[in-house]
Amino acid sequence: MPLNSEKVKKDFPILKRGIIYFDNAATTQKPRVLAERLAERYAKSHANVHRGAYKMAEETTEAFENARQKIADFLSAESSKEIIFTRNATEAINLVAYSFGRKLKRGDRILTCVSEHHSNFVPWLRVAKERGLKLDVVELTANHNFNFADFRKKLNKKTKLVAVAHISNVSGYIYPVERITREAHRVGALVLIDGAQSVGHMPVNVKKIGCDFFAFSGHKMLGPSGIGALWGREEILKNMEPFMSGGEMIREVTLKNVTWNDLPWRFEAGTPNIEGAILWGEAIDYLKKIGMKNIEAYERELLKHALLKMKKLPFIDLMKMLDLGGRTGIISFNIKGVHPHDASTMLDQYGICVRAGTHCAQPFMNHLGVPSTLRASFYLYNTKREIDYFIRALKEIHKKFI
Amino acid sequence: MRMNDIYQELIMEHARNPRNVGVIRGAKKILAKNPFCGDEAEIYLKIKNNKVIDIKYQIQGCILSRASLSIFSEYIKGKSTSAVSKIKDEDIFKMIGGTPSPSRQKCVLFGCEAIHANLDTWPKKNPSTRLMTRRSQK
Repeated sequence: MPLNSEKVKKDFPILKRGIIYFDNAATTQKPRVLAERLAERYAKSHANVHRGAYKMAEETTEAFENARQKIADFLSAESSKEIIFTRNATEAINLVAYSFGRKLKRGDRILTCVSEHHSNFVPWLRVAKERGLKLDVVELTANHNFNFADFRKKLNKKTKLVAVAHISNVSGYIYPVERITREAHRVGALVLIDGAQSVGHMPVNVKKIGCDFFAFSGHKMLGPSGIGALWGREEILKNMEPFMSGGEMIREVTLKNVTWNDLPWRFEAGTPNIEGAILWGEAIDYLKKIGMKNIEAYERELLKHALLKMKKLPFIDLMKMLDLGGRTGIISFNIKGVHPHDASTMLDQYGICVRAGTHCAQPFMNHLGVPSTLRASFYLYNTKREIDYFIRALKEIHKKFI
Repeated sequence: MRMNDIYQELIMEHARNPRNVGVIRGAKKILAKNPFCGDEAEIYLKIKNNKVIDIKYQIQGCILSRASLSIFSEYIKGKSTSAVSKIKDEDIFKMIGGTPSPSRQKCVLFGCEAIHANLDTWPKKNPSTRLMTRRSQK
């Protein structure tokens, strides 16, 4: 059954504020069920996890580990042991940079892409500087998509890790992660995919992609903020040193020595975001009920509707990112002659929330040759009617400022 | 005044016809950058006997930043450096006709802050020419 956005909208109390929320690539709104479940949990069952030997502690542990299983299933992971809870996708990537990156030796190479979010760029820049590694950067095609030919050219036997986004948070283009992984594995490099923009917007199967690490975040897929995860292949994770040290990640501690806990807890020092994880599981249940294929198709419909209308406006600069296919509901653009921050303030007066700025992707902005852009990003509760209103607002703003 | 009134006649007029745009040869150049959006300004100050006798600037920025620097430059011309260094954020918002929403205040202030930061160290040689961000922005 196709997605009924008017019905979906009713599940999101915040939208009654009279806003049009087009900043979903930054974070998403939460369905009512999350607040209800949180109230229920705090009222009925809360304890620390993996500690107490009493009923309520066991209940909480079970709910927490169930959430881990839901997340593992959502990505078609082999086992929930492969899901490590973090604060967000950024922390998941930093975990790999710290635990895997610091094992690399002088002369080893890391390959990333010019369009990456700072979270999948700065950790590699740092580790490269610290360890004397070489950081190679894949360029983009003429219309700012992933340049596969350049990727192949820059991949070589020295490349130990390839770190790229599944979907660019600026262009919305879906990168060919399966082909990237196949090529990278051919030279013996591991592959980390930044899935912050993909999970929750399309079906994702880490086994099908074939990658080694996959980082993602709860708050970009209807879940709460402060919870994210790293999926990693078990045989790789179990040979990696822990990221942070403290409780939970240990097996045995003496005055002189320490041994590590099993996966995934070895990487989860300290009390985790228990409610965050459980509510993230609820968000996944909600998404599954609607169906990931339905969400993907609906988002593409919204993208097409918006992009076809925006292309017709001569004062809108889409910076050559015109593709309708191979893309999710993200559109970066500028109103010619209007600074993005002025435009965003004006759109706010129409009740429209869009992002203005560099989108934590300054190398991508430099590549585009602009200081910053506007970005509209859609999700399942947005409608074509909202897009029509947005187009009218763009026309009026242009008239006022030019 | 609320934010939705911010693009009023004063702001729009100054943004369209900014005052004091240009370069002063031989004067010290101050670089100002708004880390929030990458907007930049080059500001030239001529100070004699502790008085701002001339100011010129070149700016690449939004309407708020262009208009604010224009209004601020008119205001400080002829004023003593001690008077200029006493100007507070609230005074600048009054000058431009209202307080913008928190996410836009940097647009108004970043040029003025760079001038302030340099007045503090005046007339030392080679003071910091980079804007110190008072509010942390992402």
